[in-house]
Amino acid sequence: MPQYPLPFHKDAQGNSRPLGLVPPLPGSVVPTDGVAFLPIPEKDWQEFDLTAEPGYPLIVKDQNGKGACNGHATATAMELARWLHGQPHVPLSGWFPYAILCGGWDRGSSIGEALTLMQKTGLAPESQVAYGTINPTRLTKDAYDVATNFKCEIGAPLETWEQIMTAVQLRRGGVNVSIRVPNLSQWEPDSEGVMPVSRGSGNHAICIGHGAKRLKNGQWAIKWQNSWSDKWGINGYAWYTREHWEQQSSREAWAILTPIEHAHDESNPPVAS
Amino acid sequence: MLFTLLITLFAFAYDAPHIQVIDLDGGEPRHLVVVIDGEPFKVISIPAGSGPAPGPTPNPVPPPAPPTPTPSPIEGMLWITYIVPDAPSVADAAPSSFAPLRARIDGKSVSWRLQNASDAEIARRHFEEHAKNAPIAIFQDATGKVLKTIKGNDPQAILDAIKAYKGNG
Repeated sequence: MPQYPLPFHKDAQGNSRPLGLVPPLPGSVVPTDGVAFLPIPEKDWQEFDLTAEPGYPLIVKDQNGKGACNGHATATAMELARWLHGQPHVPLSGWFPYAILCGGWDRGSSIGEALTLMQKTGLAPESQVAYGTINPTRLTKDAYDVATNFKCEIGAPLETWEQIMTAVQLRRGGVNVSIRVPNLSQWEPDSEGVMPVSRGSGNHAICIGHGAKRLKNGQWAIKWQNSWSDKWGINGYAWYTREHWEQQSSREAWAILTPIEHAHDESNPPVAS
Repeated sequence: MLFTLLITLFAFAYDAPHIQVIDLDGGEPRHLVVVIDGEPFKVISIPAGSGPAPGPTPNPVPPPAPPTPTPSPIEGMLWITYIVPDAPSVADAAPSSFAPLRARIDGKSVSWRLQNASDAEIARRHFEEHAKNAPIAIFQDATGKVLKTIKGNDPQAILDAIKAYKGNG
């Protein structure tokens, strides 16, 4: 059941960070049919770091004081997918999907609902939505119209760590995944950038897939972007491991495989003649 | 030179015999006739298997590959569409995050699109046939004319073709 008010965590700067990931309401998630991942074996996994690449355009978002983690992770996942597909970078609003999903009450939202929303409605650019908007009646018709250009054409729910790593290794878009933020006054990355693991239900949504590396203990980790500003973690980033995924008693994840091509974008590629 | 001259003089002086060896049938056993100054001198039979081993059967020489046309520099935007198969490998994903290639894509003179074979965009752009050969990189000019295709997932090959069309940027 939705919680209100949301539990929160205080980050190292003393900011209140509501934890707005909740289980999906019955019937709110439409299964994505026809997309199956063939897991890529671990021997083929590669290390990479997209954030170090030339022209990497994404900026760490800040859901400041609201439980909009899922909206921000969704917007970040689409920005990453668009950049990987070569589409022009457009900062997308994390408030647009959250306002629609939470209905104006800062009660959190579920990851699966966000994929459904992104496939049906799309995402609006930041320029179309005032920062901090969670009231859906304040979203303009223009914002909805423009959002149709930022839909997910092909997305897939993920159920295992191997599927998550496969989606990351294929580098086709961001992965929105749950994590458990512990009830700690401090939750800071270790020397390798990995956050402490906590048991319990996933209570925070994040976008992962910005990189992959093997840790000193031999395990693999995935780079993720939080939405608590670039003052958190390592310039806003940290690393996610199998334990983060498997220690959650309830968890969700999906990946964007193909963002829709912007129908009216002048920067669209030409049609073959 | 001097040696050749001496040999020639010696041959004239002593009227050296002219010796020929004629292979009668070319098969085995071999039958040779030795002819000296035009007269048969001796017939020699060589049993089968005692001759030198026949050389290797020459393989047919393949015709030379047609030269790969060197791309000419073009004006305007160069578009590269890289199509990955629907069940790609990690290697198929490499071009989308190959740093030197990324660095060359500026969105001004060189633009890039990553698409998977079942993407609806493939049909709109008339790339269905190309998609059957994914992974494949398709090079187009600003009008949409297909200039070149490169099969496979080698990001360096794609980068080299970009440099041929648009220089080093």
